[in-house]
Amino acid sequence: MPIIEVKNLKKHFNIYQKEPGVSGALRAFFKRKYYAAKAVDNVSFKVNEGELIGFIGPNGAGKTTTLKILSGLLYPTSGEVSVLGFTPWERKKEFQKQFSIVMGQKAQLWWDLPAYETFILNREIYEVSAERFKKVLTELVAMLEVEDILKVQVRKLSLGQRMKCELIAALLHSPKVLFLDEPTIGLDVVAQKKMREFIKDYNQKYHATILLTSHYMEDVKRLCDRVIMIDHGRIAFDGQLSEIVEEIADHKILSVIFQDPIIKDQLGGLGEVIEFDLPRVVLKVPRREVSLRAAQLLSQFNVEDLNIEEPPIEDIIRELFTGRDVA
Amino acid sequence: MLKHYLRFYRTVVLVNVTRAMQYRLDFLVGIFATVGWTVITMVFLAAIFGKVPNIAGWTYFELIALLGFYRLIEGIGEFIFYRSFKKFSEDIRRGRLDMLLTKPVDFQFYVSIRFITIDAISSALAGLAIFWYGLKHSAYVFTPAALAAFGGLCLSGFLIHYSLWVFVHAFNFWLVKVNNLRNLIHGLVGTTRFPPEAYGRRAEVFMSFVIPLALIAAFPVKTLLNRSEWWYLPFSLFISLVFLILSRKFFYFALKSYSSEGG
Repeated sequence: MPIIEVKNLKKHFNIYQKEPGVSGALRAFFKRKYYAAKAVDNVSFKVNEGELIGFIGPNGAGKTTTLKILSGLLYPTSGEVSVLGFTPWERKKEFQKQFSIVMGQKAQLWWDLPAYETFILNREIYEVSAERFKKVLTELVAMLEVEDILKVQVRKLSLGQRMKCELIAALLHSPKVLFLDEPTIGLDVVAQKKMREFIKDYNQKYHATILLTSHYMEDVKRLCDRVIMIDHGRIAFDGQLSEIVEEIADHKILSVIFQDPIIKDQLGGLGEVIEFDLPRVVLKVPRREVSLRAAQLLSQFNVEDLNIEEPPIEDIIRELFTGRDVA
Repeated sequence: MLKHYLRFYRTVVLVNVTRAMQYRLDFLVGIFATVGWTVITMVFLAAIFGKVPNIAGWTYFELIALLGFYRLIEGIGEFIFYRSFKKFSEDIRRGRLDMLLTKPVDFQFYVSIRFITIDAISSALAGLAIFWYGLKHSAYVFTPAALAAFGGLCLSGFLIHYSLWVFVHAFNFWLVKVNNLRNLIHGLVGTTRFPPEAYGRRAEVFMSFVIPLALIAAFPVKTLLNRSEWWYLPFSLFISLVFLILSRKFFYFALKSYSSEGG
């Protein structure tokens, strides 16, 4: 029984368009032009308990909108959604007590108070018993290594420290479902790594179902087995990360080290040259013709080394999202 | 349920006290400012009303009582919900309501009481003192019945005052900026510091039955001045209930059209 079920979800926004300048503003004051932006356009997927799923896509792809609908923040235009058996936008208290959302760019911590005060407030909101509160807090604080900063005003914390506290505030009621929207945004590399480790540990230790959006591929690569790729409001891919390569990339990469110098024209017809830096040359060849081209290379030139590689996942996704070279 | 909300409210107050204490100087300045403002207003009014024996049947001291009572309800409103609603407007503009909407507490309740203005206590107390001073020099009644009616009218007056704020701030969901509307409501509530009779018959009817401003301050004060009518209390309680329900319905209706920024 899936814990999250989304069926034919659509969310269209009416966005008001203003022509530039004063006259545009004046015209817009009397008559506004709207156009419907399809933020989410017929999206369906299922998530099982304990899964850690990466939700990826370029800016404006519809990731955050989907998460907001799943959290009950937005009403969909059409479609069905069930999270933990509830319809999110009905905002039932029982539902709200079982999930949490953390948005990298939206804080819930009180800015001019120590994070601990927000924790206390959340304890009351979620009706967590004093004992349970203490136990969970101790665990989370130890996992995130933030003992020293709980009593420091939030505004005096670094971004990394603040995100850790945001996570604690979101996890005090031990939610079964957790939505993380860009949790590593703006963090430095070390802090990003820490955050990732925590998310992974938390998922394994508590079997929480986690949906994570990010545009750092590294986050998704390290954390998620399954990814859902969304672009222009539609699902472009849903499956194991390793499958993306096979399913989407229609080419492989041949990197060759030549023994003798050659000129670029000699490689005509063997593949697209993407790097020419003798003795090393990198070629992009159609997936189906890889062995043929490799054989041709080996027979026509003195080759010292030849490697057949899958294209890097970042490149595949970038290509996918710019609409080029998509199978 | 009620117990949960009382506990929750207590925590909100405590967090707010901690918050106010973080800025100790601010806290003290706040108190000085309100006390100073009150003293200046009193001197100013003494100068004006000292030359007028009565306005629309209200004596000088009765007017002082009404004025003090108005300060009191402003102070209470400021203490309990003014700042929360201002923050609410800001949060809407910046699309920051999201975190609040996911919380398992009553949304309207939480939005209304999140931020408390601690120093408003001083202005409420100053208002109470002025109210008391005015009453003492007037023909007041302190019978149990009058006090009970006064209590009921205070409660319903507060609820109407609060509902007006909810109404106005519901427009936030569409308008993004409601500063002008808020100023309007400040102005309207501000008219209650003078007796409705002073504005003329038509205005009096308007303030009693259309936008029931008279119910906020004049009705409770008149009760203690032995000038009330029998229907004040039931009427006021009924109206406050209607306002409370309608404003809540309207607020949630407006919330439906809220679409937070970005996507």
